[in-house]
Amino acid sequence: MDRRTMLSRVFKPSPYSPGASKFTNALLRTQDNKEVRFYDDLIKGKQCVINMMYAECHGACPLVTTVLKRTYRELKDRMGKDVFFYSISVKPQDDTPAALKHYAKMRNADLPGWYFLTGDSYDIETIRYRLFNMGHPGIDLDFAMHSGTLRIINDATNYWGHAGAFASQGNIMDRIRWADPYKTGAEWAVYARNLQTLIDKDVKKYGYRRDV
Amino acid sequence: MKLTAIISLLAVILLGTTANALAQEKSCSFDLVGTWKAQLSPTEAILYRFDSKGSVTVLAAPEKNEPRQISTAKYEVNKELGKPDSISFTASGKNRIFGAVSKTMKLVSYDDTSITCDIPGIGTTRWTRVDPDRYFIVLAARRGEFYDTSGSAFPMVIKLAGGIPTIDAFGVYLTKDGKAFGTVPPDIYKKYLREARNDSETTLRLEINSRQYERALKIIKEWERRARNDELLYITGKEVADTDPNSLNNILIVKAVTETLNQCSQDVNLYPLNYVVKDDWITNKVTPPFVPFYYFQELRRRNEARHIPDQKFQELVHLPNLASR
Repeated sequence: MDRRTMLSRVFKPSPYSPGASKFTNALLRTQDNKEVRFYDDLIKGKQCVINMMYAECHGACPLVTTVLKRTYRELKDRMGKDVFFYSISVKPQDDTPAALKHYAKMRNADLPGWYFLTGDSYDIETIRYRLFNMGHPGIDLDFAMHSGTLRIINDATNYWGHAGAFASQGNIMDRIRWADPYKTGAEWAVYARNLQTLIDKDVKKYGYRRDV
Repeated sequence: MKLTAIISLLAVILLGTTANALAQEKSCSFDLVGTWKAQLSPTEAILYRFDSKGSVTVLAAPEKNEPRQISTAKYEVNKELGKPDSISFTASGKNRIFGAVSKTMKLVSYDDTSITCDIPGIGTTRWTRVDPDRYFIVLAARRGEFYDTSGSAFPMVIKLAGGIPTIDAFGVYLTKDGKAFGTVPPDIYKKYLREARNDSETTLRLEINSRQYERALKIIKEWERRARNDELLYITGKEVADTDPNSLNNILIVKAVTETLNQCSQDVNLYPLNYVVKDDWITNKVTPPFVPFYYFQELRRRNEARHIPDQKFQELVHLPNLASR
């Protein structure tokens, strides 16, 4: 799904969604230098995975981007349609859209449905606290503490969750699935049947359930 | 098992490195705009007036006479690796600056109030910032005002220009309806400018420089914007459990305002409000609403020699009823 379609498609938020009052509706820029409103364009009614990073980071950020790339591959059919990734720069004063584009291209992460975002440092600070705060200034003041966390949100069901970026791939996928839209009984039956097939495959191959 | 241990160890090392790499650094910004004085002898000085449009006016300032313009020039701050490295001057018309039409001086060091530079043919010289106005910071906190026995706690920054004070204050304060968080109204902050009278009060009054004032004021204005636009960093919600989010916001603002004083030099003897057990007993022993009180008390203890006493403060900052409460 291209950006135009993404922005024009109607995503319905949960009636219980805190909306822009919690998420903020800050004006951000994507790696393609397109203006987007944080809540209205990126969060409202959507399922997304959000992480904090910056282009010149040589520690956790490239590793988290690699983890997200792996996750992206698993979610390929849904990416840009009902699941989106947002990597937000914590150093917006240094990270221009061009710098983020370069970062994304260098890591083969400039993919549909995955947005690298920059903006005003005041707004980014607000977003960082609103999404990642632990209620503890000692932790929250150091943005490094948030770089290893993935925030998982589904605004359509008002689901808030998180995953450790360095958790197993299975764990990350489980947590993203927990944010999926509600399933009917029949859909759950299909899901359970498919999962059992994968488990059986693992058991046959390794003797135990490995990474389903 | 062994592999798991190795992977865990690597993860710990990696995350530790990352934390350092990501550590937020606040460097001293270089601002040349304003008037700088080079003291040539006890009775003779040169003033350099830099404007924001790239022009500098050089004035001779003998001790007993009015300053007299010597020359004008264009200036440009040259950067290397993003940091100011030198300043280039080109004299206008028939003027000369440092005895030449153009000259580049190397910046040796700088802070809020001084620049040390190396001028070819002249040598190393030190300029000090000249400011006709005076600036103060007041850190005031109380205990026993609210239901949880905590109390008001907020920083105030004061600019004294032509004898008229301009005061900005932001934090947790007491109103007749109870606890409030935001811009402190004048009728409230006036009561907190006076000296502390017992153990449940603490006040620290320090004179600061213009750059420290500007940085502290910027933080206060940013928080005023946050409060006005409903963009506070901590808001009521599950993340902050049973802690009043404004107590946490107040910790952020008092920490930012006080730490910005030392952004360019170790001017104030600060207490490390960093939540590290070995450095910081306050955040490890007291709950968030009390942190600013004990922090200000600790700062008062560490900076007692610089604290401005009541009488002197009243002479400087004329506020009616300041000490009459």
